[in-house]
Amino acid sequence: MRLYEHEGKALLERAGIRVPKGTLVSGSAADAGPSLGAATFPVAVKSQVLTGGRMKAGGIAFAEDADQLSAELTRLLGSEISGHRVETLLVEPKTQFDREFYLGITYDSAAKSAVAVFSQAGGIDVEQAGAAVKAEIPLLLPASGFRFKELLASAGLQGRLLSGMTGVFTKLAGLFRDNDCILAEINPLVLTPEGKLVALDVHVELDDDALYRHGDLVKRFGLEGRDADARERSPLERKAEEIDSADHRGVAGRMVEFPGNLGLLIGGGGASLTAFDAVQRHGGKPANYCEIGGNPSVWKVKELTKLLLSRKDVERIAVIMNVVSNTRVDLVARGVVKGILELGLDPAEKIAIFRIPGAWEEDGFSLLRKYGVPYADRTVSIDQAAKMAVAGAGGER
Amino acid sequence: MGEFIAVYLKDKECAEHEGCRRLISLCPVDIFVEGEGGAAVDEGQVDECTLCGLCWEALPDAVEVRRLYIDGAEARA
Amino acid sequence: MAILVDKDTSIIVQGITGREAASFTKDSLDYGARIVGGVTPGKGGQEVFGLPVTDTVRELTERFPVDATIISVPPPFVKDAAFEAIENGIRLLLVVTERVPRRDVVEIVELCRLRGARMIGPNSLGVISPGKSRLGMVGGPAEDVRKSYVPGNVGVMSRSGGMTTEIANLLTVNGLGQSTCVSVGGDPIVGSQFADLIDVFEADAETHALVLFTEPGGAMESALAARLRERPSRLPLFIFIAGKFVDQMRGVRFGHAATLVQSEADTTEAKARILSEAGVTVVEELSALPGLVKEALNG
Ligand code: SF4
Repeated sequence: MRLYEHEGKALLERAGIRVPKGTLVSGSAADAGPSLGAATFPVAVKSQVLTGGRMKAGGIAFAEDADQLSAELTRLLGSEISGHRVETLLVEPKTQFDREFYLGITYDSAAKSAVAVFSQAGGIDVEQAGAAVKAEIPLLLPASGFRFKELLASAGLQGRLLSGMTGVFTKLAGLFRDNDCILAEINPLVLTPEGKLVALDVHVELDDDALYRHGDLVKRFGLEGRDADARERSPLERKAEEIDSADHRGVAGRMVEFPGNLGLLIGGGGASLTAFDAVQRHGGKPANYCEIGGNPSVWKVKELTKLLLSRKDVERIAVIMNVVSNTRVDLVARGVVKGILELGLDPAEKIAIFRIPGAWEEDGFSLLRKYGVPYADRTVSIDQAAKMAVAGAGGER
Repeated sequence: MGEFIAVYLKDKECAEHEGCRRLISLCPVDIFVEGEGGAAVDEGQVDECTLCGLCWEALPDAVEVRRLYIDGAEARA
Repeated sequence: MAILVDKDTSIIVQGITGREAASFTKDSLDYGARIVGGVTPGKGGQEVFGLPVTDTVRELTERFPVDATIISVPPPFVKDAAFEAIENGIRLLLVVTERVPRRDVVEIVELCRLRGARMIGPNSLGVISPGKSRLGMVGGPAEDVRKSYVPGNVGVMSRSGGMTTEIANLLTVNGLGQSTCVSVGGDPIVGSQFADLIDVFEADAETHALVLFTEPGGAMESALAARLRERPSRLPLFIFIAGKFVDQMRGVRFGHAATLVQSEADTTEAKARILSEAGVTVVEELSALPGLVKEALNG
């Protein structure tokens, strides 16, 4: 879960890393006036949105005096930056600096380790800039400054800068570990003419799976319910999420809409990707991606089926899963057939193919036969089933 | 009767089993509910039956579960 | 000799009295796995399917030699359970639990390195050597396992648990048995990746070909490609990469936690390119897989 810049800066400050003294502004420009009365100009005005590249997208501005500031507040509050609505601004004194650096800690999944990354070329394009140095950081041992000193020395840092930067990096590593971050990045960290190291921007991502042990952060930043990915959900996708969460048994949701005419009820994780590709490969037009897994109730599958068919352009649905050992074939079959019946439609017409082999398949197939639904067993592969669905060829009935 | 599953409670046998109410907590998918003088079947719920067998193993004379797509409805109606 | 698990592999289950663990323990015993006991703190002294339940791993390792453990405890307890197993001398850990904090996974990996242990997972359905033994729950109840998996000479590794069984079934239906099949886990960081396990398959006389299943996201494929560039494999390698459509949908997560395209390297296209350059046959259509494997085995 990505944190806003001002939240990241609060964590940095708590870890003892210097940040500009900022003021948070929300609501309208008029409301903001009083809290900014004591601003020392020039100031930076920074949109608080959960996306990178704010500078390029016009989300960051500078103001030399109170008039310019109020103009920027009016312009930015309520505007959209890269598709994100600006509700809050961070107003900070503009920091003068001589040099910029990049400091980051993240996980390297190939190395299965935390890594520290450093570059002397901080600024907005560090991803492209290259010239970064890296070192693995063990987490089992207490954080130790020498690892960062070695890394920074290898990048050519010396003297007071080496010592100061080592301190900042060690603190950042502590912050990363203590808050269960998956990314903690300062870009840029600047060196001021007075020789101070100041974090001008920060990008922190927390591990969603570790939030349970950070109740303080969840409360302080109001993280409950913040979307893990920033994609806008369509009304139908939101309805699918509601259906999924209305009943804790199994998964039947995670819907993503596409503009096609073939509705898909597919699962599990890997097989749903395989089935979606196969439908497209055979010239079919999927109306959606979704994922069924675990043991969803009959009700859940039924509601999802009805939801899919509520889209006027969805002509038929294909039900495809890998050979299942946990999910039950018969219960999924019940849900799909029942959903179609409740809409007053004919399962034999609406189901292009039902291909779920595995647990309780005999019961499932008997049920499908009774309603004349075309089905396929384990001798028919996922892509063959997708082809049948697209061609309208059907399977056994 | 559901679309796929029918759960029958035999009134007579059920009355003789003081424990018929046991079914209410026994069934993992809440098919039995509190009824007049004992357990009753929630017909809106019967299609959720997982055929786990807990009910008919506990009270073989009082309850019968049939798969309508294989066994058909109860012969005696 | 099968790899990772064999008939004689002695196994314990941490969290044995949990609903899921109890059910896969029974299924695994039915399949012939040598599970010797289980651990659930606070339930020591009980029995499950005739197996002793203890409060600590040590009570079991003192009574039996223990080769492997299956960890099926809630996410907050996984790290401690894994440390307990490693520090009591167990050298193969299968973690089935999903949503384990990433820091905990990395700390377990680090302790494994220090002690010479291996972790499969987290978020893995397990490992199976058909006809011999199974670690975990891959394939489900014994009768279902026997339908999908038969003994043979093709190894399987998959980032998706369900697709492990799907691929085994596809091979079985087409007359190809399997040596060992591993669900490596669908998380961003797992204890054993393709590049870690390929050595084990190469050292196995019973494995004559290796089939991999993968998805967008993660760095497992580039690590494998690097390994193969450095040291080509003696085995014919095949990979099926699902989720081509995800290439166009940056930042949206599909299926497993790691299935997310953030950069060019995460795409199926990039993975297919680097792996085929490294000598792996990239299978375009799943149903073509058995034919390609047969060709390689007979050629
Ligand atoms: S078989 Fe199981 S699920 Fe079905 S009614 Fe009986 S107790 Fe409930």
